[in-house]
Amino acid sequence: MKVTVKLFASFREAAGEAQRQVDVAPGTTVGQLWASLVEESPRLAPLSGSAAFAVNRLYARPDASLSDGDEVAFLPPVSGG
Amino acid sequence: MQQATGLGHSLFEVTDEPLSVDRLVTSVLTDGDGAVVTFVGTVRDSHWGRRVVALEYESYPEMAEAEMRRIGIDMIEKWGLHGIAMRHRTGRLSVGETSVIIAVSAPHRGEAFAACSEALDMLKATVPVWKKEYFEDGEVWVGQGAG
Repeated sequence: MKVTVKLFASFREAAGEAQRQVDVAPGTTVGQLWASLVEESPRLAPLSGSAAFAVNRLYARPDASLSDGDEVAFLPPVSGG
Repeated sequence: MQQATGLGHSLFEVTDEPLSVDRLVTSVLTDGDGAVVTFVGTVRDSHWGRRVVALEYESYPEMAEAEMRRIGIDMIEKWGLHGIAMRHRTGRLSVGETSVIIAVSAPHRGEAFAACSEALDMLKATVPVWKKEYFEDGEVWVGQGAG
């Protein structure tokens, strides 16, 4: 399955990219995808515990399963307003 | 921007353009309103004793607008509002510039004040926008720790 991964703010800086397409096996959860991204980008590791997840622009739990074509976002603690 | 029935006179937008209170008041105001309450968020010159030189706001715009709309619908239903507008600016802002405006219209001022305050609290808790503070000697993403 192909999903689009979006990273923002401190995560974007740590990973060195804002967006990319990723291949994932069926049944992969958001949490598992995050763990594999953190493993690839060591600079994400110290920040990884504070991540919130979104799938198709809605907040999602770590155990949410991904589907082909999903847009997955990894969000640091928000600070708008 | 008129939304579907139930949203009244409402607008939810992330933009990199300067924000105007007058425009948002006009967008929410209807003949049935006795009150329009606005919140204007501005860039302050210091944080934790350090002098702020500038702020930079980043967003996930599609989700931010969806979250603001969700908050707006909540507030309209809870407080009986006629309209609510939330506009957040992104990009680099100097001290004194406006980062966010919320405008709320209602028949009476009690509901308008309460809804504006609650909408702001909800925006700050869930809307995917991030603020980076630039000091003379460094920068940090708010809420993330030293950078």
